[in-house]
Amino acid sequence: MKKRTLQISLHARESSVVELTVGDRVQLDRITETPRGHAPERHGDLLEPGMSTLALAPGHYFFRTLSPASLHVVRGGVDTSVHTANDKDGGWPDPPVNTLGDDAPGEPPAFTVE
Amino acid sequence: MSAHQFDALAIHLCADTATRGIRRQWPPAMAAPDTLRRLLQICEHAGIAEQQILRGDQATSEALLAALHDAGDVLGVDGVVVLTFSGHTERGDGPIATARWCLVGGGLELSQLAGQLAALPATTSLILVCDTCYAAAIAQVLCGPQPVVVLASCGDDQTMIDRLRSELVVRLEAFVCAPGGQDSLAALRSRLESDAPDCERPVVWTNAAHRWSAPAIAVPPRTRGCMVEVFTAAIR
Repeated sequence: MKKRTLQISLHARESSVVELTVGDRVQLDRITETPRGHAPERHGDLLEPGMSTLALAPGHYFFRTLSPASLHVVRGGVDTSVHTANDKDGGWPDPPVNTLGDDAPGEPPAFTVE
Repeated sequence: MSAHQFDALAIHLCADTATRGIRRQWPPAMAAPDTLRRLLQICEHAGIAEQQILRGDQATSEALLAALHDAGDVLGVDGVVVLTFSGHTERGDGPIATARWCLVGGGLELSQLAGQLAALPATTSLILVCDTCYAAAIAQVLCGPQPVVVLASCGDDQTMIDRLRSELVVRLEAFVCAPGGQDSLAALRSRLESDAPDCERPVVWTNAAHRWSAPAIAVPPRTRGCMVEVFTAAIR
């Protein structure tokens, strides 16, 4: 079955350090408020497969992945939530992030918080 | 569009308003206005003087199909058509050919779009810039004899995030409008792929092997020569 994209939302309640382990090349976005609504913007370099240590200022972030991923909060406080693109009618917490289409059926990868 | 003969023209389909696909209504694509502005600049830089914009209430299937039909009438031999789309695509549950670009009044099935493109003269070169979900899917559906380049913001089975600016088009503008002139289509592919996440991977595709070594978006040299000649004559 086709691999579905998993979307993971991170809310750093305070300055935090996390270890993020991913299996594919991933883009971390920070969600900022703009006159046209909440908009994701690339935050730092792309994350290569493996573990990356990230310092997060307070705020909302998200990334999408095709492979199982895990997060370890080293310091600070980070809330996480997981969605697939078809959640867009109500499953995505504030601030919302939209895709430019519907999601095809498939099996989403797993996400774990350690 | 007049009955004039053009060597190159661009049609920009910009879903900057609410649109509909198969099952639902979609909000305006956030990046669409910025993308349109950049695509106009890209085409102008590439020497494409004739550009048609379908946005707002004009972003309909009927308007696009009519514009493509008219393009066949006004293009000269070996003409170039650039078609760009910025907006939503609804995949649905059917084969990929039944996915729809979401437009005002209803979606346009990829198979229908491919059929209209195939009706253009066989010698017309097509450049499709697709900034949408399942963007590369059109390459699978094309059915005409024309040489085609597809510049897609993501794979045929991938969705993409609605951002303030299209990452594909921002990079395309930097590439085409580079001060030293644009590099080849192969170089563009390499540039785009080297800086993209795996779940939203831009695709550069062509069915014409010679296009890989040619500039990514370009009017044939013959056309540019004609434009220079006309201009020279005018200032004498």
